[in-house]
Amino acid sequence: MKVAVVGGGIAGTAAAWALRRGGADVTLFHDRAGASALYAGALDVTGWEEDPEDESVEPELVAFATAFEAWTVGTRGARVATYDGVLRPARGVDSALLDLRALAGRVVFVPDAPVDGWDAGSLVRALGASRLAVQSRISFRVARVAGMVDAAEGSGSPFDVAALHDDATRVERLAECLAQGEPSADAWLLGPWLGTRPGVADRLRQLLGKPCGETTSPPGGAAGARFEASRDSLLVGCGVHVRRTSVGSVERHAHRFRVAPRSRTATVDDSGFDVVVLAIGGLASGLSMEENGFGASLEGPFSVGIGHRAVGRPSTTHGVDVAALGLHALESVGIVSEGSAVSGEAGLFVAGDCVMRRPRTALEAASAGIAAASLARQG
Amino acid sequence: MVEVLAPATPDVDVVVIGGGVNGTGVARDAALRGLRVALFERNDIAFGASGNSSGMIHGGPRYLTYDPDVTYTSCLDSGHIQRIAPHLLFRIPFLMPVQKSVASGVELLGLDAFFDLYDKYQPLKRGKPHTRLGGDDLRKLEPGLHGDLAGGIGFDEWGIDGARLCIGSAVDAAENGAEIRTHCTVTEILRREDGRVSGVRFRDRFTGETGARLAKVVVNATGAWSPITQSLGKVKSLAARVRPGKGIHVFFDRRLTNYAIAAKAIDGRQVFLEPWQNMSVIGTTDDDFFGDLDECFATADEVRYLVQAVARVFPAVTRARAIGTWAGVRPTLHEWGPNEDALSRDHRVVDHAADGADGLYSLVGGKLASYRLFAEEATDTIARRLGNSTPGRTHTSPLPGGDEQLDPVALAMEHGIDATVATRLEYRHGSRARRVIERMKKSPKETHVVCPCEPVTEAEIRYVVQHEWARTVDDVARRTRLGLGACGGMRCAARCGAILAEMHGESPAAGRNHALEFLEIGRKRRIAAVGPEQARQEALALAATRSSLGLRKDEAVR
Repeated sequence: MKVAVVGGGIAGTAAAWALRRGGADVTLFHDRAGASALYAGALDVTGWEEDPEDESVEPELVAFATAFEAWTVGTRGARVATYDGVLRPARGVDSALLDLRALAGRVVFVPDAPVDGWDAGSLVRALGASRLAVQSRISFRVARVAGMVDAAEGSGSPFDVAALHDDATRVERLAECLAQGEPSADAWLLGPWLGTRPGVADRLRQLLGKPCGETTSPPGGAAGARFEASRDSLLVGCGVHVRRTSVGSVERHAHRFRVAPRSRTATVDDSGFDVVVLAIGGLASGLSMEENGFGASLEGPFSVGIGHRAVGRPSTTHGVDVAALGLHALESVGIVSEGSAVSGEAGLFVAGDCVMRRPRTALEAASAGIAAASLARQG
Repeated sequence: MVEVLAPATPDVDVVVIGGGVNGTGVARDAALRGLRVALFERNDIAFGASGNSSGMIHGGPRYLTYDPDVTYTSCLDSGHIQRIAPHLLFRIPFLMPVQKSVASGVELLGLDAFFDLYDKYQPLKRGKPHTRLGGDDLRKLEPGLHGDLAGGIGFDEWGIDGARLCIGSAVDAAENGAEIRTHCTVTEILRREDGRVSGVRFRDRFTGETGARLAKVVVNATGAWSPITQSLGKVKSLAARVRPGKGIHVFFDRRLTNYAIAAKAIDGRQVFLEPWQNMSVIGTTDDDFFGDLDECFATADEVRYLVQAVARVFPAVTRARAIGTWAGVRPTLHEWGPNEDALSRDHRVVDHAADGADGLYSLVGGKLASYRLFAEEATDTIARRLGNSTPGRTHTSPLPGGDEQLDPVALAMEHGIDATVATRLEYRHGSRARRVIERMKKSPKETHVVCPCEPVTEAEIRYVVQHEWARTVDDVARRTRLGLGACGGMRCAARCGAILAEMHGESPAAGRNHALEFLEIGRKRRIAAVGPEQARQEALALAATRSSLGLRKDEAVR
């Protein structure tokens, strides 16, 4: 079976991985970054306000998270500190984050680094007053740490500081500075500075010999970059063909789909696909993140056609709420809704934000991708 | 009802209700004459029309044909404002292109004659005489101009930050002994048995604190809110009626042109695209408004109307990135019948003695450019009544920071701060930029740029909280333009909220709540202007930001 997955966010990646495990020949199309690059590094099944304490994570999702280098999904859930000073539960984390579940009754130090927007004093006050911190008697303190970043390096975004630590010698320097700054620390909570690729935090833990890690990332922070790095290595590792191009249309000719890039100069795959999984975020507007953060593509929406006849735009202007559009909104454009994933009449499936009422959580997106893959395998 | 407050001595001479340009203007003028003043503002200084104007103290060539007095007084007073607050003024050169048509020759001649007349007023405000331009000249000045241009006119206006102007007046009033209370609503205008007005009751909308200030005179300077304010004293009067006219502006993430461009909307109304501070702005609409004055936002239709008009002469505007809107309600003098545009921009001081409410005055009408004159007229009336014969000196006494002009680049070099930071700081605070820099010297941590779009440093945030009554993130934004850039506060609201909470002794959760409230207001201001794709992207970024700030129910503000 030849499958095209359109979209390289969390849902698309999970779908491609699951289809590949099932033996399909998978090509994944993606271009630029979307909602997944904005995720903060905390992994939840439902929104964290909904108290996820009792959630269990389905086995296939655990298998995906295990294959995914950047993630750690435990059976008991984690506790993470947000960039704005709230301690919150999560089902799993980006491995660079500090998991505070095991730190009840301990003292966590926060370095006073000269990074723009980082105020260790107010972060410590906010975290210390947070409900979960009070319950588990975790206390936070500011540590004066000299030399970890200089003022010029810290005047950019937290992302720039993360990029600095992709360099192994800088990680060693960071470990030395922290060790000297507060030798008696039980654990260290840092900003989202530990690399734009997975592995930096683990190296730091090794060097320091104690728990340390990041807060969540603000939008456009390092967690999104590590997601992308892990995705790229996972897809290559499991043998998915990756095409970095923006898809302009998906058309069905007889029983096969033709996936055409938006750009006329990009080469087109000659052979068609038996199955297409759309994991294009939202309801398929022509939206994307520019490389430097906040921006939007001004190109038109993605279109789906049968034969050469466009069947309309599977797109709304603002919404990701299919229910509000009427349950069968997607049917009018040839896509049939079925449970958490949406399947086409013959081989067209949708996963991810396409079928959600709100910006979804990371594990929810992965779960939808796996569900779409499983429907696709059943044919 | 009528209340007896017999032999009580007044706390102050004058209570001013309203912290717009007229209210702060009267408070300053009265305080400078040695009168004791208390000012109450229900929302924030410059919350209404004053902080949401076109940001120009123009002479109003538009009014020349039917209200030449307004043009004269506006130009004259614009000159005074330049003298007392030179740091707040910036020149906006205007281009008025005329498309080639059978009538274009006549139209150009007419315009030329019209601006000949306007030129007579220009020297009053140090303006330059108009220039007649050919089509090629226009295109050389502004290559983005569209169409077959017959020629046009270049003329000259002044831009200003209306909110900073109001803050300046309020600070000066306070430094001359006035009591200024923001987010503090007047709940009742007190009247004696004989109907005379004797003071006000107030309630602080944040702390719930209530109290009264007895006064000899009460001034209602609440703009479009005037009829509501008047009813707090049970005054029934038609003399102070206003016809509220909503005006919106759309702003962009950067300067699109170096010249302001006049354009005609689909209904023939004059609109413009102007470079303003570090962005471009399109304005404005004028429509009767009947909604909630505290909740006035632009709609997508209004935005489309403006952008479409400008696109006819400057098509690139449709590809530019609109990032927000502001909306205000003008307190235009009431009149039945005429179209909104044709209503007079004149002003009037109404003495409510005729309504049996001796001691109450209402300020109705007016415009930003002539606020000082209006405040002076009102204060003259009040001072005369109170037996104070000190002449007004608001036209010679500088506003805070207006006493000396600093060179921002020299400032940046001298103190090792970023030149853009110094330039923006000097613009907003004039010579008082030194006081903000003083803070940075004492505490180097405060040099941090909290809002990179504007940019705004931590020192400036702390300064406006301490000295300019900022109590919410939105208040800080009004004073510093924090969070009004392309990212919509996504990068700075949380930090600013934390600083506010710390300075006001509130919990960290309250700080996060400040941030969330600002992001919510920001969303309402932005949603009408941003396109669907950007709106969706912002919704995602907002969701991500909220998940970091997110207040659980049990972690609500304590």
